[in-house]
Amino acid sequence: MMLLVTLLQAAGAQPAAPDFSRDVRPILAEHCFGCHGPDAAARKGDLRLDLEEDAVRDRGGYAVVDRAAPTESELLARLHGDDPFADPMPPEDEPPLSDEERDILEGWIADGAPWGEHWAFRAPEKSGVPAASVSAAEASAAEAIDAFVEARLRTEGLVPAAEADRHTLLRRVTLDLTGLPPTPEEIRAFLADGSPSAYDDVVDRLLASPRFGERMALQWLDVARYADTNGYSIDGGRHMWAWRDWVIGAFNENMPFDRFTVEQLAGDLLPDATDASRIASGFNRNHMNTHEGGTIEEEYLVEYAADRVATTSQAWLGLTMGCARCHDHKYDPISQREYYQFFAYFNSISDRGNDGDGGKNSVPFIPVFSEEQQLRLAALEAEEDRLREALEAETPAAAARLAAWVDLEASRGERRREPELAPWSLAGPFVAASGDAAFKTDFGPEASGSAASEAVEWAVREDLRDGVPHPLPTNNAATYLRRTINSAEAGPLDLAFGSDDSIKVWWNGALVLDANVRRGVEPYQESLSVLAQAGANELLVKIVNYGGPGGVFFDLTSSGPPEDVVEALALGPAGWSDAQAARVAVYHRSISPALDGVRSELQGLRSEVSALMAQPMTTAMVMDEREMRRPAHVLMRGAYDQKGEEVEPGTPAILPSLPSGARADRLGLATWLVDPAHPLTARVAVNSYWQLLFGAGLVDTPEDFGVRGALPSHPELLDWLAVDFVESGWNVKAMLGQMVRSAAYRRDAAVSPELLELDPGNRLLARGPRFRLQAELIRDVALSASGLLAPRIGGPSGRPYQPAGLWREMSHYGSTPATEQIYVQDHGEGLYRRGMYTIWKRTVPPPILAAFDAPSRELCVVRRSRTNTPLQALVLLNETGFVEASRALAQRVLLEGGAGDEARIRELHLLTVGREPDAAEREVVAALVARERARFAAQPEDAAALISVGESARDESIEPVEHAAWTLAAALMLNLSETVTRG
Amino acid sequence: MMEFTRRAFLGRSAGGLGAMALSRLLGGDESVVPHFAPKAKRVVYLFQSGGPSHIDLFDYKPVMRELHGQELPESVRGGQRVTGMTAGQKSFPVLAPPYEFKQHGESGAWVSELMPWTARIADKLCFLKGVHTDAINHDPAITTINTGAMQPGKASLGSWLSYGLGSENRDLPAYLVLLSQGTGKDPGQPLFSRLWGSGFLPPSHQGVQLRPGSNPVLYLQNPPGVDASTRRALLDDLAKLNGRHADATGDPEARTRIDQYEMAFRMQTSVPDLTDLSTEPEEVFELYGPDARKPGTYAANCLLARRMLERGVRMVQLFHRGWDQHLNLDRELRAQSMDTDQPSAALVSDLARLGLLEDTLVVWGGEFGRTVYSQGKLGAPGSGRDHHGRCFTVWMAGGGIKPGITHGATDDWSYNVAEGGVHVNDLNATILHQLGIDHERFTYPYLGLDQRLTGVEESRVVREILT
Repeated sequence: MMLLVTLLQAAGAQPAAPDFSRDVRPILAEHCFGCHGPDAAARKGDLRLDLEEDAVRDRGGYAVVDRAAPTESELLARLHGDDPFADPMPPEDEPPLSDEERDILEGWIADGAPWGEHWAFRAPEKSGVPAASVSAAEASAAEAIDAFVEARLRTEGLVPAAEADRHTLLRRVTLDLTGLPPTPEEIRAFLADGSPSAYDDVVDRLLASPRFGERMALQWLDVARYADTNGYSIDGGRHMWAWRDWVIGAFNENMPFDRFTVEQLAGDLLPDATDASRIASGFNRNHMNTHEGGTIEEEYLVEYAADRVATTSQAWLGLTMGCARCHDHKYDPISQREYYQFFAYFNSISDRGNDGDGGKNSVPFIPVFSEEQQLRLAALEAEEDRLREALEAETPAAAARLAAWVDLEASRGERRREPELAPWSLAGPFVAASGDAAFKTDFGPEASGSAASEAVEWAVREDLRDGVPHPLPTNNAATYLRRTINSAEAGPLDLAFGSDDSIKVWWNGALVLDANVRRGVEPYQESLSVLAQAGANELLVKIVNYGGPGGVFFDLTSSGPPEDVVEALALGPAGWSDAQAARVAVYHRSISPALDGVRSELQGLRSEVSALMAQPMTTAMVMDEREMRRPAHVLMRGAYDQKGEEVEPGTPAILPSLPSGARADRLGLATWLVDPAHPLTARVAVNSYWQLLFGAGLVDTPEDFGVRGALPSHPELLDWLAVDFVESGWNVKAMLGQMVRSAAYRRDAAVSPELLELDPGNRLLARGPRFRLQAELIRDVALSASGLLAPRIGGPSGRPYQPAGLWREMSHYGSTPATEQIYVQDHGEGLYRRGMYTIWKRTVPPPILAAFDAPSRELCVVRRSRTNTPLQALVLLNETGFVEASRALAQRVLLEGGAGDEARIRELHLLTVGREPDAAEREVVAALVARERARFAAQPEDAAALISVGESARDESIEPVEHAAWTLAAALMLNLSETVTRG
Repeated sequence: MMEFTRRAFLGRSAGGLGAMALSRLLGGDESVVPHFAPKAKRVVYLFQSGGPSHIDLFDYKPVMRELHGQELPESVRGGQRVTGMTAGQKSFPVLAPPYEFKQHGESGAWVSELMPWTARIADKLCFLKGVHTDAINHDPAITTINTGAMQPGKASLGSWLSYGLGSENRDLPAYLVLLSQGTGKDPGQPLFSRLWGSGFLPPSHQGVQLRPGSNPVLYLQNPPGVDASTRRALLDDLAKLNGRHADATGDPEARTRIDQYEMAFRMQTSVPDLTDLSTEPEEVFELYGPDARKPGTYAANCLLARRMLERGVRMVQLFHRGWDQHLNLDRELRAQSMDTDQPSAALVSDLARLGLLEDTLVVWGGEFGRTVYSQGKLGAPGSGRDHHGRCFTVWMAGGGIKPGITHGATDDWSYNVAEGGVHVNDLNATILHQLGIDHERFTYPYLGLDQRLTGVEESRVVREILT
């Protein structure tokens, strides 16, 4: 706001009558809302200056803002301190209003105090495109951008710069859309392409490049607070790269932004949820999670949900909802109660407060299989279907076998004496710090080695019938089941179990099964044979669930038919219900000798599936919903243990209401966000694309579209683009393509001192956008120019060079099961992957990237700083990877750059700054090479030392002195301001 | 948002034009720092990470001997939450400090036998016995005391000072950080870069870590085969090309970058000069103790800190790990004290000797204290004490703090503040105050709020301890 006022004044234009949204509300927000705003608890004098009706209402003979008699307004009296009976405003201990601010308020009241809704809470509309030859409906976004920008420039009396030269333009758009510099071939091709569509063709090529997905994902990783470790204190390793791969893929296939939104917020809840959409839902599992001993789990479950609220509201709404966690929002109309309603969407996940230790993902997570594994699984499943069909085929022969068996059983008369199974008793749940701990811990019954242990309380559970799976209603805990089995005679018994997840079984006090597995419950997952003694036998089972629903299955398989089948047989086929008939048929198939072959094939197949399932490529944390909803409460001062009123999920009243019949869950929320009438989602999205291409958003506080955020520099343009984005079907590539086709984007970025002073931040866009590359891209430019870049897209993070001990000196190495406490550097490919794949440890972010303003990824960040520091110089000059890149770049130029210094200097420039050198530049580089040649010739050991930096192979055919001299020339180029800037 | 191209620790701010003053010129915050005449120009914060036991080191009272072995009364605990590590404990027996305490100096401060060197300088120190924090586990507690909030994302004390006051040395960053690992508990609780991070402030204000070895600042050394003159020549070429580029494009960043490369070059001399202890006389090593010769130790870091302060570094923060005595209290605490006692005291004496103590604020303390009750069976050799945030001891010296006093007191069990409570945000408000900063007016707009180091709740400067 301030900047624009300055600009207007600097440009000699007199500000028009104060505009409420632009001029007045920001003053009220800054100076008054603290005590007279949305926060009910902090409110004084029963006055809300954020509400028109309250400001103008009659207060018994006077009004704070009196429209009928403006000069009588109490606001003015307070401002001037001339109400003898009341305190002047703002109070003395608060910052005073400037004269200019006072003038604006006075002018506004004199003008009749027109009010207006905050711009960002009104749905955007496409207004007419100024001075364009086409209507708003027909204009392309590129035309609209230019019409709005140029209209504003005319108002300010500024002349837009001409289009940038072609090599600058190519480097700009290539870096923006792919994050990589153009290759010399691409530069030559573009310069040689005289067709009018040459630039359009380049844009199309870049949008179709798989590097586009990487580039867009890079921006999203900050928003999503992506990292490879858990954060907080111990900061152990986690695995979320499958989610990162999903993001890259989504951008590359140009997934519409509404779908992109829904899958990431509620991909688990979609009716057509897939593994991919569940992986996408991991967006809101990318937050930190703790595994510090002593953690109170409930406290951190609140932190996690609060992080999801803060991140979701910033990423999609551009609102600082987090401010309403402890009290009503001070400036925006978001009450604390509404905050917790939003919170309620995110707090009933089956996650745990203390989880993720030992290098395992925290629950809930799903296995992720490689493409090969998925193919194999599909083949096995198809085979299983075939076998099952064979098993269940209702052929005449099968029917005859069944009938014969039923007859046989009926004729058997006195049945074999089956063991008597007492009903199950259940104890638990017993919660431990982790699933593994629960599995290892004896909560009582195990210690005695016998089910007879009375250390815990047992409840008889007649309802747990054999032969069918039963849910165990608890999450993340151990449950014990025990029963007595009375056998008339000694002999073998075959038992079958199923479990969700891991299981231990004791038979007469001896551990006979110990399977630490993660799975859903299925019948007959485990089978074992035990020796029964005559009389009472004790069976004890322990099931440990790691998250999501739990379950158990039991059947006695070696004996005769189970009870319900026996009952049916006694009844005779004529008396069977359909269910009984089916039950008998199922049972018979499980014992019919004629099906032995099929059954054993199926069993073999299942063990192959289990083996495959037990070895996923990786896992990915996902969202889910607890079976038993975790209620949400208003939390006083945001503290987990100070619960107030219980609240249901809901959205802030200031925003459009949920469509009737909307689901009260994250899917309902996501659908609401992408409703075309939503005032914020599309604006926030197009603003983020604008920021990516122009260096700053049209709203240059992308994290805050609220009343204290910046006003848009071009409000009508922002709205036009937002509407157009929705109308296009949320087409991301189309929007970016239009933006880079605009003349505003293509302008020359050179700036005169006068214009720089007038518009330092280039908000008016009279010139092209120029800004330093973000950290990861600086690395990518060096790797790409030098030819070292590993081409692989996606996959696990790499571990490039890093000074020894950086992690260790801060971490909990050696005293924790957590991984990623000591840095283990990669060799080979992992050294040369793009910056976005550098392993990200939150407590010690990658030092090279951190030097160039990369955030810690502890929290959502929608805008990075761009500082200019000496530490950055040290990185580019001395870091092993950059020195190695210089060496490899030198080698490339020497081998491929043609003969002679001049040709090589040209190639060096094309590879780094994307253009030909001028004479002076050639001279500087040539002189450097000559100088260093002489020095290295005199000190060959220095040459040898320099060209041995880094692990990549050197072409030994290159003469060392020559290589070393050119290595310094390459270093010069990689350190140029122009190289690390996209101009 | 404007681009922060400010020369955070550049020559241009050397003339006293602080970063905030510059920001004002750019149309940012209106307030000018310092707000009033400071008592201290610089801070050295001896951060004892993990939670030193105030009970065994400083917060002594003879009556505790009689309470030894008794159950901590429920009325004292007051239903207060305890960490998951002792929540399951059925008994909370009082463990009196197994150390001898004596009163020292004219001030008569109680100091444990574990801290004999600190005892000797007791008259230079101000003991705050009633410091308290809201958190009970390391991560939230250490984040609160260093950044003012339990939740990550805020700016650290040092980065606030860098932002507000800038540097007085054109060749060194304004905020330097030194890490060390104690011999008591190795490894200690983890540290994280957010503790000296800049949070929402521009990243150029984050603490710069100085590490032992040949690269005290990351990537400080030229690559092999490149000597200083070669580097100088390269920088001249670079300045030539960057200058031409700046001329051709008008890009102010290119111009700034030339300055930054020059500063980097100067740091290649100024930092090794700073870390080279070979010029220190023998008596200095005697003062700081034998460890001072071992790079990376707490003692060496204390000596380095003095050299930094001499050079005008605004804030030096040591983080010493290993003060987390859940187990093996006696063995670990003795070792931790051995590591730190003599060097901490030496630093205070050394600053006083050099006339620097007057305007240097020294702060010694951790993120919380420890429980009076035993974690584990009373008297068992492996037992210790759990985290305790309701009261702990911090000492300060120099920088306009009254020497030789004790402020605040705890109850007989050293469990609750009895008088003179100082919330960790009050402590930070007081530190800022000594540097001439009103913590309520020292703000930075972020996420729609005027963020400040001391958070949203009321905090107060502990005026009782000021000279």
